[in-house]
Amino acid sequence: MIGYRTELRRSPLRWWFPLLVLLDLAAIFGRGRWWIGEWPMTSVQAQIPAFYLAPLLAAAAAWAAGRTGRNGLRDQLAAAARPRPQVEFAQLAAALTYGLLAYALGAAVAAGVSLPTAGPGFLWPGYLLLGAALMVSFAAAGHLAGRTFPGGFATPVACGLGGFIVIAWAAGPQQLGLFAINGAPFRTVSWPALAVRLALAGLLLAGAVGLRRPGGRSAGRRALAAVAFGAALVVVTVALTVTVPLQVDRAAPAQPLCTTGAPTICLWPEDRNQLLRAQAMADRMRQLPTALVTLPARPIAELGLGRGGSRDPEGFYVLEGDMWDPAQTMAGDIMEASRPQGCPDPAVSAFTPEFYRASGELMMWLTMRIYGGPMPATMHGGPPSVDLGAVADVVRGTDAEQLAWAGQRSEVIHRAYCG
Amino acid sequence: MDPVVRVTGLTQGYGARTVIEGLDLDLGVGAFGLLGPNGAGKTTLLRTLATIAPPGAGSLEILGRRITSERSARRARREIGFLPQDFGHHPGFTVHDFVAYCAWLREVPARQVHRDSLRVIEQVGLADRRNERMKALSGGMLRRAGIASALVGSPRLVLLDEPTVGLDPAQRLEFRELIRSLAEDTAVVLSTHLVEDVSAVCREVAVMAAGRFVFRGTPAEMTALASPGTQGDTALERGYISVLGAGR
Repeated sequence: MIGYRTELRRSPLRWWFPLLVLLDLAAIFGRGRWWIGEWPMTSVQAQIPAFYLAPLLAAAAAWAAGRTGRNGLRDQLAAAARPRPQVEFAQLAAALTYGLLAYALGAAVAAGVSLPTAGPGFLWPGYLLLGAALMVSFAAAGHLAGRTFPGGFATPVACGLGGFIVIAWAAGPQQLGLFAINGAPFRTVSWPALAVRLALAGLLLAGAVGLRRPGGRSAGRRALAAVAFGAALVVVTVALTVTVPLQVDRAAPAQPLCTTGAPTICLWPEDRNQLLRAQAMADRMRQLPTALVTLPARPIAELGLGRGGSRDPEGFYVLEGDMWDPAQTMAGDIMEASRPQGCPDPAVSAFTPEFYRASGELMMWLTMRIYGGPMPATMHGGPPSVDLGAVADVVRGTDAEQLAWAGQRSEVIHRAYCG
Repeated sequence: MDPVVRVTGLTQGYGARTVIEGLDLDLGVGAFGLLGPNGAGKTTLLRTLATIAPPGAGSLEILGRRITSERSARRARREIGFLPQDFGHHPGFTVHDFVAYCAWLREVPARQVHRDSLRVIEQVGLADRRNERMKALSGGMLRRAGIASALVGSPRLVLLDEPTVGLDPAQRLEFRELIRSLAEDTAVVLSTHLVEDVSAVCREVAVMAAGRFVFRGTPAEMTALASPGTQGDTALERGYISVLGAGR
């Protein structure tokens, strides 16, 4: 403990710690507030700062590890009774302590702000462990680099920049899968995938503190350890690629949360803070003019609740905590249910640009009606050639005006199907 | 009683270059001076005794245990205090941190580290500077902090490579007094260029040249070997120069 306490006291991160905490909180809250009140999203959000902390830790660990060489302590360490891995571990543990403490504080704050509005449950450990594994892996790699190349500038800078490049280009959920960016309730971290990432962190940690330059009394053993480390690294890297995607579907809950009355909208229990909004949307759907639209008969369910799991084509997804995307899905369902019946399938040539525009406009009108307003500024996209502002103006009009406007679009669609 | 150090047929080198060849040495409690010109092999011998460099050939025993593996070397290191010629330190450490860190490296029991660090810091005359950072110390003070780091934990074998470099005359006198008292129950190996340090504190002295001993005996015996007309400020220096000349 003396060595660890000493390393804690002299770690450069001692002075940077407040900045690490600020960075952590900025990464959590700077991306939006939509995750508040939803445990899996809060968990992923608490993991997001690891993207930034991990490369910084790699740089700091490289700088700290290089001090032994820069300050000329090689002979003293070589003459030490204490096993070298313990000495190195104390140093690396100090850097990790500051990094992981900042990470844990951020997670605690995220949990604290979610707690009042989220239902039963808490942070999902899988996501938090994923972020921790990323930080340990990067710090260990930085430590190893610092031991090997003890420069005080080039090595830490290379480790920091290299870390950011790996995060940006190779570590994403669809690449090496070292982190998650989406905490939808219908998905969770695959435990085998997490185990492999923890194994990577453990392996790099062992290598960072245990590997020594071949030579001296245990030259053969050291060389063998280096070869074994390299081989294990190859195996774990292959395992990383094999265990992508990182997230797997969760089993649907026996009792999802559903709105009352028809049509019914069902949500994952983790999305309980959307239930009131969903109920309002269901109520608004009931108020749609039945002369123009037919409401779907089956419950409208969040992805993962239906038979198709997370790939259910009829399920909706609460994107970034907003019900706009679900409203779009519901509008699509209504368009499908309202398709002219009894007419033969038209030739593709019947679908003119006018048809596509009418379909798009009608769909966006339905979306805004269900959503209860125009598309929020945080959302993007929409059908091509549809003026969303103009549709929003229509939604603000009287019922009669809206009915006439929608009737014209419906007529165009009907003509395309039934001539 | 077993000697503290027993070296038999030691050959040591770097790559193809042999630095020490066929050296035998038994050391018991007391101060042992190691003299010799640059490149004679003094530092290599000390690094071997510190179990940093395994013998190329021959054997090394510390406190009756043969050093044959990393594990046996580590066990021996608990009893060895080593001050390298160019000892390193972290500039941000306080003197106390530095000595305590060295105690931790030597696996001094945790409950003794603080008390023993204070004791040796006081012994080297740095008590009033124990909370100063190493980067704020003068060269002589740094050297004294280094000596304290070698003495912490009361090792039974103390290896000091050029310990008096940078010390002023008064500090050197204090250092000699410290080594004299230490040598009452500890084996101390003092490698130096300064023959007066050896004459002042060492019961036995060896002169190394080209990787072997060209003289072993008491300072008085070395003094007696001084050839007439040999240059030197003291009788011991003249003896040393004569021994070196004869060895070549």
